[in-house]
Order: sequence, then C-alpha cells, then structure tokens
Amino acid sequence: MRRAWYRILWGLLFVLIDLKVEMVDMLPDMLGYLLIASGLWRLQRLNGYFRLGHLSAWLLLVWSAASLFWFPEVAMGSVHMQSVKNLFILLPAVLLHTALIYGICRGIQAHYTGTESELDRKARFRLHLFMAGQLLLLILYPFMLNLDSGDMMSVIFICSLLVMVAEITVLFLVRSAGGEWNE
Amino acid sequence: MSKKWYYVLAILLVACSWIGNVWYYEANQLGSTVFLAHHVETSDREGHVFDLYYIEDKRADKTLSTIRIEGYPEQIVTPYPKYAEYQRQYLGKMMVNLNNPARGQGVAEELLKEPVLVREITALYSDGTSEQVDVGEIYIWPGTYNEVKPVEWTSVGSSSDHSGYNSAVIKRPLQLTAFSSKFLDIAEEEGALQIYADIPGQVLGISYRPLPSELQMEQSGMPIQEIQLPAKMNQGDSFRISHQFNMPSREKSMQVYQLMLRTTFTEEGQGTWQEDTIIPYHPSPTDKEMTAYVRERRKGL
Repeated sequence: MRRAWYRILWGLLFVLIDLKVEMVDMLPDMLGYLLIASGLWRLQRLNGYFRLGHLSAWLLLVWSAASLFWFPEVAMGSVHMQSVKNLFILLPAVLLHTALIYGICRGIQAHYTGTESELDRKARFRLHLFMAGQLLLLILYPFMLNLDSGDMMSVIFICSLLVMVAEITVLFLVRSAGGEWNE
Repeated sequence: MSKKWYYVLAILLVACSWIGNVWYYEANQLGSTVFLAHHVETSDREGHVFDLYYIEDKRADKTLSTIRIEGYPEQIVTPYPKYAEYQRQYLGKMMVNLNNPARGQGVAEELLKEPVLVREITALYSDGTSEQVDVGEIYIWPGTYNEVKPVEWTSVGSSSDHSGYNSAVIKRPLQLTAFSSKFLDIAEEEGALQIYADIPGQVLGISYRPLPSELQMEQSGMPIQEIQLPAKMNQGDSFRISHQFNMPSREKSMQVYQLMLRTTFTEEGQGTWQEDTIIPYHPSPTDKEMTAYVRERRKGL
C-alpha cells in the first residue's frame, strides 16, 4: 500500500513540474495522472474522498490525452487566455484538478482523524491554502477577457505561485502519509 | 451548515465572475470583419492610393488577409491590419494602388465625364475563404497626365483635426471655371465639410497681406460655393484650397471620405485643364467611441 502513496507523490510531481526540452514535456502530465490514478485505485476503498480523487485522476488523464489531439496548443502550454474558447477549454481541467487535490487532502484528513499523527490537521490546513488560491484563480481567470492583459497576467502569476506553494505542501503531506502508513 | 454556506458562496462568486465576464466580453465583440462605409473618389493612375478601413476583433479566428477590386489586374494592395489598436479591436486599413498606366492627352472625352463606381470588393480571409463585401461607394476616375500644366502645386499640409490645405502658383494666365466632386453634397447639405478657396481678386490674396497664423491659414479664403466663377487668374498668382471636416454625428464620424476636388481651368487658345485636390477624412475614434460603434453594429445585426 505504501507504494500507492509514492505513486501519487511522483504523479503530483510530474503534473506540477513542466520540464520542456524543445517544446516536449519530459515529465508529461498524462503519465503523472496515470501514476496518481493507479495510486488512488489502491486507496479508494479507504474512504469516498479517495474515490473522488481516483475518478478525477482518470478524467484528467482522458482530458490530457484528448487535448493533445484536439487542442495541441493547450497541451503544449502555449494557450492564450484572452479568448472565451480557450478559457472554457481549460476550465474542466482546473475543476478536475481541484477535485483531485480535494479528494487527496480530505481522504488523508478522514483516514488519519483520531490518530496520534497530526496529518489530519496538516491536511486540513493545506487543503484550505490550496482551495483559497484555486478559488482566487477561478474568480480572476475570466477577467483576462476584459481587463488589461499585462496587469492581469501579473495578478494571475501571483495567484498561481500561491497555488504552486500549496501543491508543494500537499506533496510533502502525501510523503508523510506514505511514511506513516502502517501495513 | 456554515461550511455549506462557504461552498455556496465560493461557487456563486466563481459563477458570477465567469458569467459576467463572458457576457461583457461577448457584448463587445464584432464577431466578424466589418468594413466602414466609404465615400471615396480616386484615380486609377499608378501612384495614386486610397485607403479602405475595417475593424476586426483582436481575438478573431478569421482575419482579413487582403482585398481585391475586380477589373484592375495590376493593383497593389498593402495591408495595415493593426493600423490603430483599441482595447478589444483593431482598426485596420488596406492601402490600394490601382496601378493603371496613365493615359495621355488623347484620352477619350466620354471616359473623363463619368467615373467607374465600385460598391463591392472581394475580401480574402486568413482561413482561405473569400466573400463580396459592400464598402460604400468608390468612384474611380481614369488617370491622365499633362506635361505642360499651367498650375504648379507648391505645398500641402494636413492636421489631426481633419483640416488641410493645398497651395499652388499659376504659371500662365487662365480662368478658373468650376469646382466639382461627387461628394460636394456633404459640404452643401450637411455642413460636415467646409472647403475654402483663396483666389486673388475674390478675397485679398495671401500674396497681398501679411502671413496669418497656421490655424487661420488653414481656413483662409471663401467657401467655394460663394466664389464667383469664372475667376480670372494671372501668371504668378497664388492659389490655395483648404478644408475642414466637422462631422455632425458619431455615425458620420465613423465613415471614410476622400474627395477628389476637381478644379477646371480654361486657358485661352489651349482648351481646358483639370487639377485634382485630394481632401481626405479617415476616422480616428477614441476607445469609448469604438466601443459604442461595436455595440451599435451588434444591435443592427
């Protein structure tokens, strides 16, 4: 079971880091979602939150594969946000990713509630941090359509940074959960 | 209960932001390339150019690549797709040189009487499609050249307030007999354009008085409708045509005008000569005016 946690950890790392060489992502998101899905497949029997995360991971895997063929500019990460079409292409991925992190964090929180470890408290705080950043991003994204794109880009960048920091703390949370797992 | 309230509030905030922004964005999009209404007189002679203005959304999927006017195989079209940038649109222009070889003095008389009228052009888009679009009215006069012109144009000027002038010197004694243009009605009926001519004898010519300021110079002389014709002009006289556009409404201010004011001279024993003065007006809307124009266009569709 511990391997499942580490798959999730590696999967999140693949999704978080975009290491591109000549426009090719060396750590493709698709592989990341596959690792997360396979990890959560083992954990989903523990509680419903992991099941939600598992389902989200599979849907994100499908979305990543589909966008590679239908919207290659999205898959390459070069999409311009100042059009309604592009915003709506990205919206499902943002929502599913939110559901994935929610599922992982709430799953850990539920599983470790009542144990001596403080993982439930840590999971709760990190989820709040992530959700706050993600909520801000979701509210601000559509303003890209109407406000000066230069100003908005800097605001979006700051919010993205907040979300990234929150996701890094979730990575450490998953590592701790894997470390504390008792077979 | 309180937790559910947070979730509902968050979802509401996100939904409001998306619905509001998408609605506002769509309300300010044209949806397709729109040509302004043109009232243009031009010559098909090589080197003579006129501009066709159009508006496109900045995020348009399909943009105008070039245009074609049927019947002018040698035409040269130079696109300026981002001639002026606005918050959500670009004002673009296509500079057109019909590029026909100039005809000499032997040009048929009837050809000079009535110009070719073009109302539709072929628009070619970035996705490979094309369509016929109405651009207003473009009168195309046959281009001619005279080697021994009795009038020599000496200076030309224009200002951002839609005013301008052309000055000339008379090289041989002659008579000014007529001013004509296809669009003189906008000067006479609507008052959107004032054209002045400064002719010695009609008013105190500029060569007989101290030079006025630049602003006064722009509008010196008399309105051309009030000038008594024919007017006799002597060798060495100065001659000036100046104009000022004052568009009475936003609808008018978003239209394109280019008058080719034709001044006819008669020279004793030499026949008649015609000199053309270009009087241009092109829109330069503010961001607010552009937004209002886009919304009006959307209502009209």
